[in-house]
Amino acid sequence: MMRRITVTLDEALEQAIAEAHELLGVEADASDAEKFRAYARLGYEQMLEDELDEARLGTYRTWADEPESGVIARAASRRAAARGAYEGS
Amino acid sequence: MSGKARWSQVWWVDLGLDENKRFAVVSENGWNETFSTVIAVRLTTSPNRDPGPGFPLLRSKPPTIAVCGEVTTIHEDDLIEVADKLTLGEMRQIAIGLLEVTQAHRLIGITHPDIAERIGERKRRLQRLRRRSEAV
Repeated sequence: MMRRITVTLDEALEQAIAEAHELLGVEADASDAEKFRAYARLGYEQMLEDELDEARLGTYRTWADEPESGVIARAASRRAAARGAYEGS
Repeated sequence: MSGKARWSQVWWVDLGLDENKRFAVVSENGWNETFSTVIAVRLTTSPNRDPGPGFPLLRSKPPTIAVCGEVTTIHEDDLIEVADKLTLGEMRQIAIGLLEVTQAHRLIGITHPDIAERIGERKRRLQRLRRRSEAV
């Protein structure tokens, strides 16, 4: 037998839902369900961004002591400057 | 003469070091044909390093990683020899790596491509474009 579940929203959340359609990228008259889905998607996206940020900074740390790190970049800059690549800048 | 290098080519580059280094050309061909320089990203096959954001693994045999933070200007006179040509998929990995080290996607309001794919945005965008093109 199916059961009906009732969810009560507090006023602040209702207000946020009413105002947030533009940020969420949904129509102003979108259903609450659609807005909730957009909220969830945004939250999930943020979580994935945070994970990626952490992974990125962790990768930087593991590469920071690579012997060639910086050496080649400096050599390339010196070489490009000697060739006049930056003249006029 | 400008224009000897093409987008996605890998070149051996003489930087005056003990050995030549491999770089992938990321500047587009309009740039490459107009200027005597190219914009390039260093590649490494060092076995002791792990790939990650900003350091995409382009190939597993041999393990080839693009060091996207070391994007640099190279004069075409220092381009010695074409070593290889990257595929579209490999160039896409470099493009994502460049976004990661610059975070440029945030400035222009674009979701990171891998995240967009995970949340299905890419699929939805393609569906929207398809609907629009059908409507025209």
